[in-house]
Amino acid sequence: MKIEILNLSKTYNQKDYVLRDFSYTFESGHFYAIMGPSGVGKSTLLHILGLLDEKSSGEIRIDGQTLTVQGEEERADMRLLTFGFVFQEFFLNPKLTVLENVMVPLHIHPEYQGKENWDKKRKRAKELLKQFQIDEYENRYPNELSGGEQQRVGIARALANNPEVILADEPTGNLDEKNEENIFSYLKALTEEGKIVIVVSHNETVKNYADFIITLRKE
Amino acid sequence: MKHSWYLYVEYDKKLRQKNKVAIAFMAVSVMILLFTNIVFSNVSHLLENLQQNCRTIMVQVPFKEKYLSMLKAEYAENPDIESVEEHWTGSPIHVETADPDIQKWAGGQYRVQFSEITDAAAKNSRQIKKKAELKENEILVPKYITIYIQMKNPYDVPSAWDDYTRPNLKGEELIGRTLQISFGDETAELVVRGVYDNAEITTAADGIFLSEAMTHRVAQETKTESNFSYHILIKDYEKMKIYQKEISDFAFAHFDTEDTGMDDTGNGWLIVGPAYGVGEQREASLTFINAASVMAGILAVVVMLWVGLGLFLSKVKMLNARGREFALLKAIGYRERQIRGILRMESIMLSAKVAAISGIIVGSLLIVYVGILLIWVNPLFYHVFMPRFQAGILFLTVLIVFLVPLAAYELSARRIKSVSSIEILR
Ligand SMILES: Nc1ncnc2c1ncn2[C@@H]1O[C@H](COP(=O)(O)OP(=O)(O)OP(=O)(O)O)[C@@H](O)[C@H]1O
Ligand SMILES: [Mg+2]
Repeated sequence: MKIEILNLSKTYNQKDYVLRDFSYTFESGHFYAIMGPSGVGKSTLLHILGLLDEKSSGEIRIDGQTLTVQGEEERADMRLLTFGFVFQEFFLNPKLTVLENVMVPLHIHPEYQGKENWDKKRKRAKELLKQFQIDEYENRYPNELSGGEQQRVGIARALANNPEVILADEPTGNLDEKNEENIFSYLKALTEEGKIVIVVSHNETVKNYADFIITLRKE
Repeated sequence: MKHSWYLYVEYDKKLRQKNKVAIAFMAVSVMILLFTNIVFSNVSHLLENLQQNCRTIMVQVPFKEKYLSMLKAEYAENPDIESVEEHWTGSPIHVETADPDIQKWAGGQYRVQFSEITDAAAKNSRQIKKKAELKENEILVPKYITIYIQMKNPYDVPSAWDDYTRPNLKGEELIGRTLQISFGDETAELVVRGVYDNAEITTAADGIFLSEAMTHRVAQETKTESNFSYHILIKDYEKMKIYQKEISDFAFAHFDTEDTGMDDTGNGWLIVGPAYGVGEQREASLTFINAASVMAGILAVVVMLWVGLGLFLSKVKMLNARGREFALLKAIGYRERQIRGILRMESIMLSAKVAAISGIIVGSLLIVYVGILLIWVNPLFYHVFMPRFQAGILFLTVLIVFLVPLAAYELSARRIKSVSSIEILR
């Protein structure tokens, strides 16, 4: 997969630009780190890429095709199938167990619909938990896990739908150094499966894992 | 809808468990419903009876049917009078026996009195069948006998007739013995064929069953099958005194009776007066009705507000608190409709639980309240409307209590649209 961004701009008031004429190409199997000072527009870029936010101008091409998504529902479907989000504060549902949290995206995935696919869902979620070595916690609730463990659940959830692009905004912002390395190496491992991993981080450690570093600067 | 349900159950599979609890919850609620309904409808009937009791004049006379037709002819068309009705009170039959055992039971005295049990009194019991098997000169006596005896004292002055229960007096001991009954100017010898079960007969449980043929003979002789008193229901309580006097005068003038006591045959007995302790009952019932209606009304309103407002607020609060959850679902790729679907199902389940309990409580209170209001306006309304609308009122309240939180949900669910993933998840 190849995601091309051409002359992307974002402005809230037509005067001050959060992003201006940003162009870049993301390709499968690579780890990208987006860095830069606070308020420079890192999160904004990630949100536009992940179709959570709308661009003011510019073009996004996926495998050469200009992305023209119309309406919120189509954007939602696109998010579901193509992107997986990892957040600084994990945003796990405290009422659901670890396993149930990972299953949340699967409930709406077209391949897992219907009662007959219930076991398939569980299987998929358990595989993911195993991949991130948290399968022994599957019946625990998020508040019974450490921050690092919670973030691994977050990554497992982001991967549940088997998206081609993982978007992580400060995924280690709430973690200590050891967990930080751990999370980055898990993310790095995903590129070996051919995924595009885009991580926003303040942290210098990310440079040890990134194939490409994109530094945003204020104008 | 089906999809929403599926999604909802999948999203939080513990709900399956919760649903079982909810079903158990509802079953209990239905039982509470039935119970409260029975209790409350009984209360309503009590109130209604109190109302009627205050306005009833009883005329108790010898057992001649013509008295009823005379009363009816005189008063049924009277605009002040609601109804003239007959009420069964007793039977014209007296049993005397020379049986030494019975005399022994009666404290060495010489008379024992039974009254007849009518078919009406025994209508729901198995005893009617037993009665059908009786030969003309046979009777059934109660399993446990309450005997009416007239005690004699050393001065040879008969005491008043009194019911006198001998706990050890079992009907079985009488089987095969001969009793003498008298009615009008006649007497007959009757053999005790068997016993009947008192517990199955709610009125006149101390009486005897006569055969059909004997019943007929008694009826012919005494011109009636049973002893009636007549109840005259006056529309306006304020006119009770006037009519008591008027009916009394009428009865003395037209009924061939000499005194107001009871003679040896049971004839010549006339009482005209309020059927119940009117003055006090009226006061009591009015205070009771007032207090009950005010209480029920206040309770209904309070519970309604509590349920409605509480649910509304908790719904709104919940949706606000769950902004992050919805934002996340949106980011994952859930469509707004799907999130709403989950919420709606949650809402329906919650509302159903709440409606099952609170709706029934509120509904039952409303039934009492409406019932009392109807009785207050006119007891007739109560009779006409209550049986038909009782279920309706309940259903409506449950529905309203069910719909309030749903409406609250629908209102606040609009906010989901404005939940911005980027702002919340930033
Ligand atoms: N809704 C909005 N209206 C106006 N300005 C906004 C809005 N949302 C974000 N901004 C501005 O856009 C800029 C970029 O924000 P963004 O969150 O992308 O920064 P960031 O690089 O992720 O910063 P940080 O490292 O602190 O997370 C900021 O200056 C912010 O104030
Ligand atoms: Mg940011």
